[in-house]
Amino acid sequence: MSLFINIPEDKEPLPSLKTGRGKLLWIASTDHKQLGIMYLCLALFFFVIGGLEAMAIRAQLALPDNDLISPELYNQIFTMHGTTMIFLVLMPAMVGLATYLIPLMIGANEMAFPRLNAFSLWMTCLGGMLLYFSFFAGGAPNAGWFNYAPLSENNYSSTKGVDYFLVGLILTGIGSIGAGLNFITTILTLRSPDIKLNMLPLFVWMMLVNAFLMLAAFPLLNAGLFMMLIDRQFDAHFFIPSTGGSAILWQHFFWAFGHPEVYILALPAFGIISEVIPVFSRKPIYGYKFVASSSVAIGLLSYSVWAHHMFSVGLSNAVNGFFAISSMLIGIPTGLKVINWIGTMHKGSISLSIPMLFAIAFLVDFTFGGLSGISFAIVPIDWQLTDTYYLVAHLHYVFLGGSLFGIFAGIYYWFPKISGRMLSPKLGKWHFWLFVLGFNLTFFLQHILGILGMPRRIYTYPDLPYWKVLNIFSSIGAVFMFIGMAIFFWNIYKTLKKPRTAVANPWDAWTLEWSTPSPPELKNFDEIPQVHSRRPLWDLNNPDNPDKKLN
Amino acid sequence: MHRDKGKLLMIFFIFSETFFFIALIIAYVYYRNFSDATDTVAKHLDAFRAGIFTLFLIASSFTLLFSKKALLKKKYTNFKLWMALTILFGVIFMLGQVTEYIGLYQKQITLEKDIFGSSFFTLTGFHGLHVILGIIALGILFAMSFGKLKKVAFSGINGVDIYWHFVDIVWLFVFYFVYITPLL
Amino acid sequence: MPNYYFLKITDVDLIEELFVYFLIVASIIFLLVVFFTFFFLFRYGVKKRPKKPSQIESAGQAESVLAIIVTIVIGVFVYLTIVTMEKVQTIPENPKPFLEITGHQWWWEAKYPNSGVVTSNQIYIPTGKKILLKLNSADVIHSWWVPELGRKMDMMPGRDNYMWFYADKEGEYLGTCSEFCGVQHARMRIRVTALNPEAFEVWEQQQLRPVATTNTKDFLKGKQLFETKTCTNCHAINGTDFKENIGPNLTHFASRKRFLADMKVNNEKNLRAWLTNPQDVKSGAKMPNFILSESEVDALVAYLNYLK
Repeated sequence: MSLFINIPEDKEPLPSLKTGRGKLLWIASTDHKQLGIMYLCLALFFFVIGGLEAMAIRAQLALPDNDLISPELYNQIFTMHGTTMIFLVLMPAMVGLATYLIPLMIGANEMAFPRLNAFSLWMTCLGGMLLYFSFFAGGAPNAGWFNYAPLSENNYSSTKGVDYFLVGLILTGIGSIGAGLNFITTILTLRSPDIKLNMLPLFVWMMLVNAFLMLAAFPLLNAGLFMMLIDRQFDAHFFIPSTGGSAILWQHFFWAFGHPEVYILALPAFGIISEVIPVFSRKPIYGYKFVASSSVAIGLLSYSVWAHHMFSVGLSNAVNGFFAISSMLIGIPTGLKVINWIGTMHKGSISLSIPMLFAIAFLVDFTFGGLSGISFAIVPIDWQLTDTYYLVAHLHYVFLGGSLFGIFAGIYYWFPKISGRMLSPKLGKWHFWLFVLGFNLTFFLQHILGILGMPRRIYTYPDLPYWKVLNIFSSIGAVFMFIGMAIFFWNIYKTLKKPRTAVANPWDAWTLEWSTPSPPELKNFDEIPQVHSRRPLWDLNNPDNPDKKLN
Repeated sequence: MHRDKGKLLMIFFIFSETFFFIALIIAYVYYRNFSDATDTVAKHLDAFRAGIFTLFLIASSFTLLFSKKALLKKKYTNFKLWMALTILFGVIFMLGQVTEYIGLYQKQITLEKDIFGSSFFTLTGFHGLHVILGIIALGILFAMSFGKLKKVAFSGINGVDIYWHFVDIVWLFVFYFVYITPLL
Repeated sequence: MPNYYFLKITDVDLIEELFVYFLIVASIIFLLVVFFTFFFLFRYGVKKRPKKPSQIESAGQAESVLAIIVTIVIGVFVYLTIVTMEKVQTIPENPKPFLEITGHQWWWEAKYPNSGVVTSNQIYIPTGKKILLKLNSADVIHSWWVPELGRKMDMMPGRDNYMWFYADKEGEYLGTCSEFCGVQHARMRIRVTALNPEAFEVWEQQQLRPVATTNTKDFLKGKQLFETKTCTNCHAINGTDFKENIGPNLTHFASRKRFLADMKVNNEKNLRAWLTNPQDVKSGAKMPNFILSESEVDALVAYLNYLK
């Protein structure tokens, strides 16, 4: 029995503010473009908060034996910093860009389930608000974003902070699952009939794989969160060793989610870079099939590596060995994509727009982060370097150097499409240089700190040789990043006040979203464009040298 | 051409819920096999009684199948009959669950008793929650079939029936791991 | 089965060697990526190139060749990983640990099963022998890490973990708790002192001696206060009836150079500050403020300073 049956298209449009222009009506919107923008606003808002938390951390850690921030407050700040950046900044930013762009890139007028779309956004919002409400309810969660048991259980964390963490993340998790469901059904059912799966823009491909990852990973987290909530609220014993429970089980559940989650955060960045580099090298991506299939491989493999976060827990050598092998193997499809990106630049015609600048920074810094990650797969090295600043350096290299630089590239690239205005390249350059130099200063030095023995998640440290100077410079880098971000926000603010003068295709790009005006009309496409290759607009503009016909 | 996105949505939703239940079952199996404690709940469970209620749930899947077939053939009376039976069997299953819980609580087997209490009630509890949601969805379809909303029931049944069968299959796994394996 | 044996290369050196191999390979890869990125960036800049360059696409050869090369390199590292793991972490069937360390929020409890020594925070080991550590936790997850003497190993409540520990030379080795364990995780540091085997034996004998006592007024008053102020509810002193291990064992406290898990030097000023209000010194520590008067603090300091 076939999965797909013909049902007639809805005659009635779904409720949305197709006619109203009032600002409050945004709250009732189910339009994917408005929801995408709201996701991005949410991400930028929490980025400011998470960034301020980071500045507080670096201020406290600039000097040894510092007493700027008490340990009680510091532990809340670093917990919230990690939780915010992952669940309230990177996730919504990626989901927001995807929500905005996927229908435009596949020739559709809307996502498959607009109301589910709105539901996902508001669940994410609610989760974030609950999480931050904890500051006013006796204290924010303070057991780290990974919330290990039994520290996070009632007898060791008696404020309600952890409960707000649990419920807040359950809600954002439900939002993410909703978004994943929407992406898959949209991509599979609402594509323009000409578009075969092997013709999807790579950003769409990555989001498709990502959506599967979201569906399979967030339930694992939710199960763990519910179990701990039941522990804390109903005196159950899931993760409390003293009454028979297992602290390791929490780690297994958390990381079985946590590792796919980092790929959920990386794949969209890969997708964005795979759109940006070809356009600014004026060539198609070097190896579409490889990039697409290696993402599927990463998606599947990401479920086999989770215990590499637990190498020092004392599991057997056989178990550790298995996860060492799987973790090293997953580096292969991830790393080889770099060949495809650099290969795209080969014999191209490269212009250094701001998106391209961030793409270059991504190539360098994400590679660095990926390599330091491989060092952790070599188990005995992990036995020395895990839980140190070397690991903090690694994770920031992949999250910022990878995910965030990808997001910046995407924002600069698609800003004209979304808002109808071009962001100032001059301010963009200031943002880029200040942020990238500050980032590398802050986090490169932290590799050394880790090797020198500085552990992570500490509110202060003793005055050991070189620790002070390295931490001071690391904190100085944070100041550069702060200024760079201020310039970025200033750029956005200033640009939004200008009139809408952007053309439909300012970068002379080739995917379908660039065939709509900037910004697109409420109804994306009046007629569904003809598509015969991966680059329909290239074919349109180069009828004498079109891409190979794929349908 | 539009593919049935509603059915696809339900399939993928079930895909994600599968992982949720896998996690809960893993907790249960983990405590049994990897902790030193012996399963204190298992000996108080009545597998035979639970088996009877399982049969009701399995039967409800069949009645739902007949109900859907009737709807597709536009035989609305049959549809309502089989649907009512499905809902009834679902409710009987839940009653069986609830009375089992009451019986266990009277014997001091509670959620907070120990890890087995915690995992038993959490696993069967979440499953029961899903059954209740299914009953509500079936009830809505049933109610809609009276009057002008017949057409909506027509497209809704495709998603709801997948969900109900899923709930049934999950229960078979739960039944196996919770009630059957201690007896082996 | 002996729980220590002599060896030729330390585990720590082995791991360092492995890290160097990794650094070499990673640097080569990184430099290649950087080189090609920037070379292409400058060689193929838009100013020197046609507006529409040849639209080449890959046929997959480059990726496949590199995949094979990378897989081989990974194969080598897999082998090295497994071999090193076996060398560093092979624990005998019935482990008989030389030293049992239990992590508490935020101090270390140490027991030497062979000699019967029980102490806290100040940990001594003999040089020249690989010793077996047994690690567990009394409350939340902690992690034992002295980078120069061995690997990191988590201390899990309800589970015993074993690892090897080795000091080549005499000296003081610094380490730290390496798993976030609550408000004072940062101040749960480690200082291991390695003595040559003879000196270590002397230390063990000293630890086993009963506590020194004297008859000065302050000492006796302090000793009495130690009981009446309920210190004994948490702290043990060997050779007396006080055996609780909720707080660190205070036997021979006066001969410890540092206290509060290596946070402060053990001198009168610091001890006084601690006794006056522990929460001012290490906030969140489980020792409440007993609101002692100055003369009570004097007496207790006199008492504790005599426990050599």
